[in-house]
Amino acid sequence: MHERFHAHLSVALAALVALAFAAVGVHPAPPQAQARDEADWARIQAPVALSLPRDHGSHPKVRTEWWYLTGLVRDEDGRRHGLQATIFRQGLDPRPAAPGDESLRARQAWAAHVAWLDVAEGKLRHVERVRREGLDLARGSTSMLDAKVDDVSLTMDEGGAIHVKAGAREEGYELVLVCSPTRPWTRHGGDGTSKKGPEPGNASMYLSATRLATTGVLRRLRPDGSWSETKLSGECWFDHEWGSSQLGEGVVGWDWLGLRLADGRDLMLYRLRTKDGGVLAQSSGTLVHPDGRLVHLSRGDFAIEELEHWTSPRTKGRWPVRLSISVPAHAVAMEATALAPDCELDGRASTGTIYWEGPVVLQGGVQGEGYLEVTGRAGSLEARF
Amino acid sequence: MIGSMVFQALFLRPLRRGPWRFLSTIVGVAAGVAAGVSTLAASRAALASLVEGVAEVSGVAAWELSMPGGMSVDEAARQASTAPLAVVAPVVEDLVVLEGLDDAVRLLGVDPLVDRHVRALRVEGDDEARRQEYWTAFQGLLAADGVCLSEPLARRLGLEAGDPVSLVLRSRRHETRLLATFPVPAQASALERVVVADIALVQAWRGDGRIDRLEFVPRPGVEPEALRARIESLAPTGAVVRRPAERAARTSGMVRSLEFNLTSLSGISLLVGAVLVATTLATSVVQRKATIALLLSLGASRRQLAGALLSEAALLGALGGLLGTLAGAQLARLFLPAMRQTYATVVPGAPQTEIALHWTDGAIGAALGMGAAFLAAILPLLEILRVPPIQALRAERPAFLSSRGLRLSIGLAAGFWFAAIELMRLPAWRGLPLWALASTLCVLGVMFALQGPLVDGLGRLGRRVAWLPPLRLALASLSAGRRRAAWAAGAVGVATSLSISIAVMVSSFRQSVVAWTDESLKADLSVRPALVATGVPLGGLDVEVERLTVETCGRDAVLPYHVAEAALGDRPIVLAGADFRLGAQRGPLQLVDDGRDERAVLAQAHERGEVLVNEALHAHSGLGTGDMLHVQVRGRNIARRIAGVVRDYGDSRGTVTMDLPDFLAAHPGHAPQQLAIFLADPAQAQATQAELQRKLAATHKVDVLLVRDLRAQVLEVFERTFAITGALQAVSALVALVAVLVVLHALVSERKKDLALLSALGASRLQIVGGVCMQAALLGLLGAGAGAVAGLVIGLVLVDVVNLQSFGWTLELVQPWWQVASTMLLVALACVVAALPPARAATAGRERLVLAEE
Repeated sequence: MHERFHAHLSVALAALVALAFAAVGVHPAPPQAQARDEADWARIQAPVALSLPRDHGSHPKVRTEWWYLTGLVRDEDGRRHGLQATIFRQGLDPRPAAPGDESLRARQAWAAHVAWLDVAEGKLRHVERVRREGLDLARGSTSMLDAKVDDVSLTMDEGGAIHVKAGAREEGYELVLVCSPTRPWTRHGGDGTSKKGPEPGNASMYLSATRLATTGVLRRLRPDGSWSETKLSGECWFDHEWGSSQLGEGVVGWDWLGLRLADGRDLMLYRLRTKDGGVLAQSSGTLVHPDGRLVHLSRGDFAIEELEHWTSPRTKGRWPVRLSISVPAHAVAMEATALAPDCELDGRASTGTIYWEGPVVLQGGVQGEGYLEVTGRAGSLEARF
Repeated sequence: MIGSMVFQALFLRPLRRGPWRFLSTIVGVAAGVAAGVSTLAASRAALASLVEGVAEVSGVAAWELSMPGGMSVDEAARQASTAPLAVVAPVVEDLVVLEGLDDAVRLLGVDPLVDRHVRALRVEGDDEARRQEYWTAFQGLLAADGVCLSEPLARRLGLEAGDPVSLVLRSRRHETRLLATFPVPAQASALERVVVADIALVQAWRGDGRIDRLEFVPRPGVEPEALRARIESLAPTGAVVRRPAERAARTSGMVRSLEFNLTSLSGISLLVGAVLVATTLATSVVQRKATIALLLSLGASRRQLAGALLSEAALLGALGGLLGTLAGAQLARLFLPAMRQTYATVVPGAPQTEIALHWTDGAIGAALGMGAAFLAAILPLLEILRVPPIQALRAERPAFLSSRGLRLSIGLAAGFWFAAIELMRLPAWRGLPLWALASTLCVLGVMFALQGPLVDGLGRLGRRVAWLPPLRLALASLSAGRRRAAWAAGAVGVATSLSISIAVMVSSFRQSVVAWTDESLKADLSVRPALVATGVPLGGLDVEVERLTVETCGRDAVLPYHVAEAALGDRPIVLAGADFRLGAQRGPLQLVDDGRDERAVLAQAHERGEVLVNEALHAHSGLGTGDMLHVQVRGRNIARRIAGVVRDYGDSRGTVTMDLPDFLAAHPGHAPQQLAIFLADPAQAQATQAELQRKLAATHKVDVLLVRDLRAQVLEVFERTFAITGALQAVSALVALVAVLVVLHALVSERKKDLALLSALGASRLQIVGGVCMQAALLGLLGAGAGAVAGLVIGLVLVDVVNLQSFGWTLELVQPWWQVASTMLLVALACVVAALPPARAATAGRERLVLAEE
């Protein structure tokens, strides 16, 4: 969870970093303290009583927040498609607007990532959006899930279904999805907060809908400007996390898995990798039983071993594409294999970060499917913070 | 074979034997072309600062949405649903003065997070090692902690990243720092003169939350017109959707009249140049009539003769054009500041640009030179085609104008006059005084048509002045070369008329402006933004300036004047706000000729919530006193009755002045453009000026002026605005002088046998020189006299028609008689001076040689 949190955080921040190149230029000023006082951001000090659906909305007093949908669906011909639609919020300035201040001061930056993988084709198509809050082009409601960045939006209806609209014209497609949770929301973390480190307050709130029955349409842009439509159906996973924590010292990357097991259980695992090749003690996971019962997994409760790698010809990043996963105490042992090796999202020209995010199938023990996210295997993360 | 002989006899030999004539004609054409090219190049560079920058600074945006006075956040937010079709980028843009650079540069307030989709302010390549520094700089930009400058601008100011930057926006000094520099895509890029800041920082500096425009970059596969339709359907009232280039066109449209008038003015120099070519070619034909006749007798075709003449014209035109283009490029550099100042009176604060000579300038120069030369060759060509083989072998003798020729000339002059009158009455063509300027050409046509009869009349006088040999000699010489003399007098006349008509226009303008400033500037002190290099104040005042001034002088002593943008239909206009109640007490306005008391009109407008419009608005809209006016102000339609039309030589776009409370209701928190201060004790003006300067110096860049200083400043701006017309005047005068020189040489050359005979018979050198100089003086006086009359008429057209159609201003016509007289005298003197080299040639002691040839 810690890793996942920062994975998303890194993407949001890196987007801003990269735009420094885009908008500013080659001879920057000597580094000077620009960041707002970290203490001004609210911290998750203790378990917070949740009020849903309000807490599905935005929490602008904390620094970072994201809503993250991943899923594996099929079209009417049985073709499999991997989907990702994410909205990030990054607080830039905790000071509230002064009375009468109508200016577009950048208090919150919003970003969105949309990706579609045609599994048979093996090609990932990815777009991104970034802008400051304002002008109704980037916003998030604080009373419900209603977040938007340009042409990417995530909203929740009164019945709890999540509606996704994701424009990706640059890559020639659009996604329109309706995702209905089929299980109660999962609150991760042993005591209701997801710890990010040993310090008090270094924690986040992390909620998941681990199974969402998904239907929708993939619209593809024809050369003549018209659209073709492909109906989709399948299952997705949705995360919502918010907090003001910072990445721990020495962390170089993380691996995250969100898996739906064929026996009805769901499993979230992450491990936070350190410079010396070790794994941080705060790495953890959650096992969700079909009846809604949650089991918090600590670092020692699970093991992840990399069995096979794929090296990107573009970035030379070496990404794990087959993993051995085990949670011995709960009879979980299996291999997760990427459905397509090339799920690398290279955002150096725009977001400045490179990560791998793609669907996996579970075999060799427990069957199932899910999504794998890996960061810190190409390029340095440290330079971006 | 015969073709080669024709070419040798008519072209190469005269060229070898009289290179000075050829060269001086080239210089004359070059001067005319230089005037044209330099005006075009300087005008283009001055316009580029207004126009080309618009497109470059707008990057790849296909459309932009804007409205007079800018949009509120809510109005802009209506466009959110266009996001699936386009990247939407909000922009605020203003002009600032950077410390160390006393000139305007663009301040571009953007959202750095989305701006990479629109503008080319980016860096190629990647530099891993410096990412941390980039991130810091970017954070600073986003956190509104600094600005970015182009690399060339930072170098020019000696600034490096991290250095403090001081800039003045709307008269208030702001201290910030340089976060980073960005490279510009090309030399002479408009982006060189751009300061980039976060949009919120610029909004904070301006003290408003307005957005000047939204820029739209269509996403792939989106039809631009479909996007436009979508934007329009969501746009607030009064907003305009257009391509950035259309904004550029609109800006250039604002100075179109000025540009047109200046180009027309430079065209007159070219006209004088064309007259010069015609004179040279005609002289060449007449001088070689015997040769032509001989060649015809030997079997040369008229086509071959015409070919030789046209070759000479082409060479004159091409060389003159080339030389003129090169000289024009240099002249343009001299003209540019004046041109910018001229344009700045319409569009204040145009950023600096450099003169860049384009290949088309060379082509234009050559085309102008060749065009003028070929046009000028028409009459000599007709003459060459009329030369009979045998009769032309007879020597030319003084011949007076036949009565048929006289009737033809007078008829032609009458035709031109009638055309001039009719053209003058026509309305402007697309806002340009095209017909009125054509009528001035017709006036010149009248003058040209009458030159023949006038020279003829002078020649006839020769019989009655036997008692003064030099004068008789001069008149006989003029009579013998009547056509050339008429051409030369015409060239002098054109230059004189240009000079006098400009003098009439400038004097009338000056007199009107002086009267207007005397009437309008009644305050003891004036506070306004400091002037920049273009001689105009940049932006308005800060609210703090008004607060401090009111604190120092008292509420009722301060009369603020506000200025904002508005639209009348699709035409941008100025919306002003002034306190009518205080104004009624002070009376600082001039109504246009309706006999009512200004104070009563202001009091009535205050009572009834009416507005005043200026002459320019009245001229282009036709709306006057008592009419209802409907203007779009910040997305709202406002209807007000017009209380009166006022004189205003400070604006040609059209201004509507509202009562201050009415104005502020539409523009809450708006800061004034300038403040007029009426002190209870005017003797305290200097002390108050010093006190205000002391209070404002540290935080603001404003001028606190005594009324006499303000008047002087207004007139200084006026003089600078018209500086360029003086330069064009000088160029055309130079061309005219060259014309006189060429013609006198030709006339002396024609009379060389007579002069040699006179010399052999005992005529003194003084008598011969006197004859030649008198001939020149007569030519000069004839041209100057006719030119003066034409100039006065053209001046009248410029003041009453061209000016009104261009700017909508009525001016008091002033005839500057002393200038008319001194110009005529100077022209005659210049002609005498120009006659000295030919006179010297006439007395070079070669009479025996000449007579021996005979």
